[in-house]
Amino acid sequence: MDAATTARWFDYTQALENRFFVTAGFGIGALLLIALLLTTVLSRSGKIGKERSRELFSRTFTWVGLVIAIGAPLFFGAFWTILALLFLSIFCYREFARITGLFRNYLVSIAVVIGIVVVFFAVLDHWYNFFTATSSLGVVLIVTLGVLSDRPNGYLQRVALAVLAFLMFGVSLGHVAYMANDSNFRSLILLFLIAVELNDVFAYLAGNLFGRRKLAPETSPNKTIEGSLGAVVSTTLLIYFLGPFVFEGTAMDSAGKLITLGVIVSLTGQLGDLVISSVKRDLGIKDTGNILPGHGGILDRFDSLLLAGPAYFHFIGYFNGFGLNEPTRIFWGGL
Amino acid sequence: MDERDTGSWKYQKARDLDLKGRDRMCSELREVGLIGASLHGIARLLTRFLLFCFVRIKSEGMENLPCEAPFVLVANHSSHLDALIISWILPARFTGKFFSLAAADYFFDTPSKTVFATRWVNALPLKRGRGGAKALGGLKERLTGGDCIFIVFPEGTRSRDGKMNPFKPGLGMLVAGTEVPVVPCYLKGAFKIWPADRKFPRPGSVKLSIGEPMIFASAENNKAGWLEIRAQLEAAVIDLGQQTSDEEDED
Repeated sequence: MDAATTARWFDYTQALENRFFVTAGFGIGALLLIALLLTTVLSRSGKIGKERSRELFSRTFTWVGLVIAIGAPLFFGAFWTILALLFLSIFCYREFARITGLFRNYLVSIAVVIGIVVVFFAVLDHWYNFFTATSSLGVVLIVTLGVLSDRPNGYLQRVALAVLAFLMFGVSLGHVAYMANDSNFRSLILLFLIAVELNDVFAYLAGNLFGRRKLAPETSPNKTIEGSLGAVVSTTLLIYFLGPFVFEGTAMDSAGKLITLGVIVSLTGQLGDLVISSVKRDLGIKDTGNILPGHGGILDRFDSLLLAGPAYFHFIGYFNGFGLNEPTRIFWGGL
Repeated sequence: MDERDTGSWKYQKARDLDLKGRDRMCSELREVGLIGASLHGIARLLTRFLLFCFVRIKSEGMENLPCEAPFVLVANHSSHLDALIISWILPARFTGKFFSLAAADYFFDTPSKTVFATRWVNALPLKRGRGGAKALGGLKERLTGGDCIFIVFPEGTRSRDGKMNPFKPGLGMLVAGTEVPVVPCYLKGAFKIWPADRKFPRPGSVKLSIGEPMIFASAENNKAGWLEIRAQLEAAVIDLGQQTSDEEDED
């Protein structure tokens, strides 16, 4: 393995030289501290009930945990980032399988997990041609392994569920992970995560402030058109102002492109949210899990990444590409 | 219109979806997915490796095992190794699907024992004592609603002297009026290896005889029905035990 790849994978000193990463890290840290302080003040003042303040605390602490779980791999290098996203992908599948009942079918589950691992292998190897092939190869693997149990009853349903899960979690989050092959991956991924997660917050706040007309009352009764528009405006502004620090000196560093990117990320983020809401409505459940106190399941928290990931990836990829100067096919000696 | 309802896929969420941590492990609703099944598979192999050092395992009547879950294996209980030996003999494709019913008050009372019982043995807690049909309701639902296999020791506790104790009628509550096959088994030799009064096991050989499956679909789900099922199963297991020792005499 060559020095450039080793540095990208494991050299955390690069993170300290990355101004955007360091500044954003401090910013997020400060935000969390303020949130903690606010929660403490609120619960001390006695204005909110005990139950509510406990919920707020567990929510905030979960955020702290999440920021560490996401920030640490980004800090330590591309290898850890890809590994962390692989685990995220597999845990998203686990939750999906547990709410649909697919987890009882080991053969199909194994196919999905192998598919996801292959996607992330292609990502780690920095082999784009294979990475694009993995989506169809994964589908083939699922439909063929699904045959082997020789149980045609329910074949269509379980294979369809598995293919959906593979594409939604494996391929989708694979796109996010692929950005780790760029030398500027910390900024790229961090901007994406900040934009998508704040997009949720903006929608919630704008909905609370101005919300009147329901967006999709059957799917998600709390979402409003005003909230959604507010999120589009705020997220676009966010990307417009943060973008120049990330894309300095590249083709993406133009107002028009950044505004388009902001609109795309905001809309796809909200759509991803609605997709998982529809799944939950269809199955008649409230949360996909309970692993994150105050938030619900991993899918409840990361649903907005699912569609926004590929959209963000392809829009930037069209103008800038990813890791064009980095060695490819690393496990084959780097070409 | 040409409709076809294969009726084969149900969006049935995990029964333990709302539980977590120890509550989940201590629940009879615990379901095993790919991760749990992999852990159980590894545990099975390790168990076999440990047992291989000092126990010779033979089995007969494997053809009597139903091809598909659900079913119930009923056996005599003379040592802590019983469940591990039986779970090794069961075909690997049932990994993650068979559960030993273990006493909640003994195997699930401390966190470390709970982890061992769920992750290593793949046990489900069984509340001993006078819980009645209510305590077994969840387990019965698991058995009829899902594809699981239960390993049950109806004596309720390990034999202290190597002789089989009378069966308890609780098992009848699980299977009365259902189509679930019950397979009687007799495990011979386990008591010599690890009797209840010894701290560690010693080398030896065991033999598991598997009898023909019995179905209690027409049995009534009341006290009389349960007692009847108990009597039939007890007789079947004793019978298997007799056959095993007769064969040894002939040898």
